[in-house]
Amino acid sequence: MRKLIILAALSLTSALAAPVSLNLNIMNGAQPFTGTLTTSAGQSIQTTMWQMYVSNVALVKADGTEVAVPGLNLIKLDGKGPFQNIVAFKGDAPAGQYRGIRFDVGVPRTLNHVDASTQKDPLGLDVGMFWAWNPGYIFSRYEGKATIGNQTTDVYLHMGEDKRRLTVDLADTMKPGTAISVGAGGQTVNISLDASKMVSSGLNGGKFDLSDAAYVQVHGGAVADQLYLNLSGAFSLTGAPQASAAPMDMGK
Amino acid sequence: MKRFLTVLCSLTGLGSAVALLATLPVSAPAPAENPLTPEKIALGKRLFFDPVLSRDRTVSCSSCHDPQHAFADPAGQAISPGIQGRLGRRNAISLINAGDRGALTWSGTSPSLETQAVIPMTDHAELDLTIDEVVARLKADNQYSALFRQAFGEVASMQNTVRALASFERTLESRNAPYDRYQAGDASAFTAQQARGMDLFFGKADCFHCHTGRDFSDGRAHNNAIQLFNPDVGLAERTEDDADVGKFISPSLRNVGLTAPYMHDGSFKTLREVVEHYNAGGEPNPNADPLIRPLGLTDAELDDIVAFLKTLDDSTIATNPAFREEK
Repeated sequence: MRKLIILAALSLTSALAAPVSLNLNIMNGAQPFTGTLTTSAGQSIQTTMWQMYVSNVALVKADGTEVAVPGLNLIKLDGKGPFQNIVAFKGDAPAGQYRGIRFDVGVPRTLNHVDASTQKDPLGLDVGMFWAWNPGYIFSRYEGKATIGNQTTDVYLHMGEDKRRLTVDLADTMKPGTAISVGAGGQTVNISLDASKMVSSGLNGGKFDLSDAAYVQVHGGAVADQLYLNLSGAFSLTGAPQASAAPMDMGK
Repeated sequence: MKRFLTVLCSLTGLGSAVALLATLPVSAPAPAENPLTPEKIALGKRLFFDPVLSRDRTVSCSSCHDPQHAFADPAGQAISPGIQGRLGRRNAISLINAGDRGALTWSGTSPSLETQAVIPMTDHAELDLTIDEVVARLKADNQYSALFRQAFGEVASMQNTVRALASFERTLESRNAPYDRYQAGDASAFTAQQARGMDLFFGKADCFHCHTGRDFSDGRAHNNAIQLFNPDVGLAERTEDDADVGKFISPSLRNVGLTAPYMHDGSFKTLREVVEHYNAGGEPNPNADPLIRPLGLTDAELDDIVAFLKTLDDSTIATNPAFREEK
């Protein structure tokens, strides 16, 4: 009987939803990002805004199956930071052992073509993430100021459209071991984003060179495809966090 | 009994509903998220004519959408300047009956008047403000703060700003042209030439395939073979598809005699130039609509079509006090 109770308690624990949080640290190579981005052509951009959507989050089990963590969040950063310890997403998932995590930088297709004027934040018009001329959300909106020649230039690196919804897969089912352990009290998953990678490669193996106007104001086309490729390799799972003992405060 | 009815109306709210109906103008249908109210219309009208929505406070929505020209560009302007004389790429589309359209902007890519309104406010070549700047500016203005509270019960936001603007735009309904009178049975509303032009429009000239419906637009994007190399790619801007390069939404022909010049870039100065272009079959273009082909119309027939097009002009727009700025 006692065994039965323990068994029942164990199965109940594994089925209970626990809070899962993505903690984002933006890096500049190996150093913490401070707001200055340097392109592969050597130009500096002073960040004024970086906003991106995180959605379609799932924890990945050792057998490759996934457990969805429903929700959508908009990360909103200005030029002042902080750029570390940012809550990128909060949701609930069953406690358990997972091989990793997978999420999208973007808005799900089912929401991407609604009229933003009918939506509430973070999908409403006030967050400035909807292309009014193009029914669809900007998935990653980076803006900054760069000095090119003797002129200060506004740099807009906007990535969006269904074909550029970026799936970030931080789960390696080929390697044994537990990458993420979600206890009854929940878990904070640390991920990092190497900002320098966004401007690391240009078209056709060239540099991300702001002296070429095609790289300065990006909304679509080949350079937006390049942003997608650059960002796809910019995320990583950091550390092997332990299950937290106490429940997380979801109100913060 | 009368007193009883008054009390009943007050209790049920019917009294206020009746009062509301009495003050709402004729308008296009409003979306469920943004029902029309007199307060929103009044706020939207004020915002529409107020340069407060431009960076240097010199330009308003009405600078490009002039009531004297059916809310299209002021006389003769192919492209109306934004702040500091900056020029965008496109001719301003008439806003008359815009609330009945499903595809907004020349490339048809804005889903609602609300969302479309963000474009000119934030375009660097037009009003050039950020969303945050618009909201901060309106919140700092005591009069606007009061008007937003009356209209929405809350402080200014971009959502409410565009909802107010769209509400005013939905009242810009007008179908009082000679064409409408003719359709209603008044044969004297047309000259013989205009009647011949109508027959050509709906017959030999094939205009009606794209310019169809009560506002003479199919709401779809077509390439009308005016320029092979056009820096403005039109619909392809959204789809990034080469087959969509140079496709633009068929504009409504309502008030077309009041809204010269023509085409998405205002490159044709007169209606005669427009019909001559279509009669010639356009320039060679792989994306051209199959209907663009030499039409074989005579000079006299072209004159007839132009005469018919002018029957779509509604002269009451310019004099309608509901459409004018309140000083």
